[in-house]
Amino acid sequence: MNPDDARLTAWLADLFRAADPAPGEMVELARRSFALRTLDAELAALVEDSAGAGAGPIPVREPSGADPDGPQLRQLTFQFHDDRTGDDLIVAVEVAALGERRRLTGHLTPQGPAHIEVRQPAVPRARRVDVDRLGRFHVDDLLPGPASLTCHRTGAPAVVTEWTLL
Amino acid sequence: MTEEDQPGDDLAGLVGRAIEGDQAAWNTIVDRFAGRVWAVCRAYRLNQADGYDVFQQTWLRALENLESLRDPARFGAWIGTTCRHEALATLRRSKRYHLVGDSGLLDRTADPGDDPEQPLLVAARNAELWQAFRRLSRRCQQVLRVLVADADEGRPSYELAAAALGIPIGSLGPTRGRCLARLREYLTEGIAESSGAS
Repeated sequence: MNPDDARLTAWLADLFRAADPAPGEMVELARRSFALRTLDAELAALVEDSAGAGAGPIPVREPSGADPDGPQLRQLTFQFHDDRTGDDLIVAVEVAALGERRRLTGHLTPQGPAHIEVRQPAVPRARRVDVDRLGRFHVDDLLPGPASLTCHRTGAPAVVTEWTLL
Repeated sequence: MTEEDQPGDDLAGLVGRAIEGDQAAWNTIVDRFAGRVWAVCRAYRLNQADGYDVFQQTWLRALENLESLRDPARFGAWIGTTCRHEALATLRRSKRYHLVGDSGLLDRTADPGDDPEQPLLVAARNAELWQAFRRLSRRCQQVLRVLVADADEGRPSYELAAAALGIPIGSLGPTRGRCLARLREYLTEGIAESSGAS
């Protein structure tokens, strides 16, 4: 880099460091999120996202029959494949955006006694809801932003869904 | 230029200690890369709320994948790619399923009337530089914004920048040079105009 470029680059670095640094509270949250590591749980990957935000080459599905005046709905599907038993756990979630709140309506397959914890980095305590006999669950009043669900089933390892922006 | 900006062993060591549960090692990683991850959020012109979400999500994805990183020494490139994916996904969602390809998003020219990344606190001595920067093409603004965002060591993060912007690492140097030349032109013009007006 020639001296002029080096000087200009340093000046630019100064400008952004002074005017638009990484927000301190966000950096602090990122540090504290270390506590959100899950060590003894299996990971369920996001395999389908109606908003096309999944990691893989997933066909984007237009929301069908969406009411433009109703809540924005988004379908997420998470899957954990247990290599030992050959079983799949599917967590299907519909996310409704209601202003600055998110509501989850979900379904767990296979059915069975279970409860779900919802973790969000900005919320100190996980929310816990029971899954009903038909595998259904509801969570109201979540914040927009990253969230992860932990599925606790009797006699099976806990499964966490990969972090997803609601 | 293809080397990560920090000694690879050091970074791999930090990642290894974080995997073993060392909070201090994780903090060091966050502190080292936070400025760059934020710069990537800004380079994609995310508004503040979306920028906060993508920043958080990027770090959570990093934690989730820490143990499966194939090459921990290249953590910078990995987190740059992750942040880019999350930023583009967020932009797509905010367009309500109206998909725009990566290149379409990257090549949008700067719209001076709608700039979520306008810093509020541009000091007087930086105002001319900021005005000149704003006149640059979108691509130039992105490349410079991400390249100058450094940890205290102050060396440009080519691997992270290339990954974060989805452009070949070999084109970064020439692009940076061209953009800096253009910026210098705008600065000179700006200074000439303001001294002519006074």
